[in-house]
Amino acid sequence: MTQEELGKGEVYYNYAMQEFPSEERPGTSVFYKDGAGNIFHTYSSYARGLDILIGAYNWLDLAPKGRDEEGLKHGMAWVRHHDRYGEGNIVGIK
Amino acid sequence: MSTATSKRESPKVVPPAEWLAARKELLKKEKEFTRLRDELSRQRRELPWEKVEKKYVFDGPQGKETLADLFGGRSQLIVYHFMFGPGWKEGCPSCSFISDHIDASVVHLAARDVRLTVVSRAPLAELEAFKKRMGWQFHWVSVIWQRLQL
Repeated sequence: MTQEELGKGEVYYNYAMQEFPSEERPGTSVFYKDGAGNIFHTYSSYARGLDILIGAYNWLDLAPKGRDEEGLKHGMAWVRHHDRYGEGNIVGIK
Repeated sequence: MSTATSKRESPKVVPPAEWLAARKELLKKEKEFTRLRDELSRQRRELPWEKVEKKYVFDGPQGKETLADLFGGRSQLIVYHFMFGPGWKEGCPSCSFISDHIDASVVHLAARDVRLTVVSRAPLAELEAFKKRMGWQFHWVSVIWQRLQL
């Protein structure tokens, strides 16, 4: 990302120009290295394409309340660092 | 972006036979979804590849590493870009949530010829301090001058 992109409010992310609220954007990329040492890029995924990396989402999807994101500013607004939830605290009260 | 989560205020409570019938009906859709997911994964593996010509250098716990080094002796490399910019006081909470799932997977992936590595833009010292706080063990390197995502 460049400062010019920041100025326009849109950045290239997930294969399209869009707004993103951070100078950093998450993603995963996959590579293969052959016997001769050549390296190839085989795949990249971003945004909700990363959902499948989150095992806890799969457990939540089995529960009656699901991910319970309705009314949140964004889907992951309830997420805290694992040392920041506090005992017995349920995050995400609307 | 929100998922389509339907929270029913008053769930329908039914006798066991009716419950089982409804469950079996959903199972058909679940099986169809599983097959579709397998098919999508197959198509993902059939995507063409592109050769990486750019020379990347990473700052890791053992010193400078190239992209080839990141493979750690495996032929497949998966890199997760963790949002942690230079000077941030801590890593992004959502990326931390994803990364809480990494350590348990690393040994299994290695057994399937996959190296899983995390990359961020913050300097290594900042990454290592946060990694210690979070209790993570996974391989985490810094790429200060370039984004790895292609």
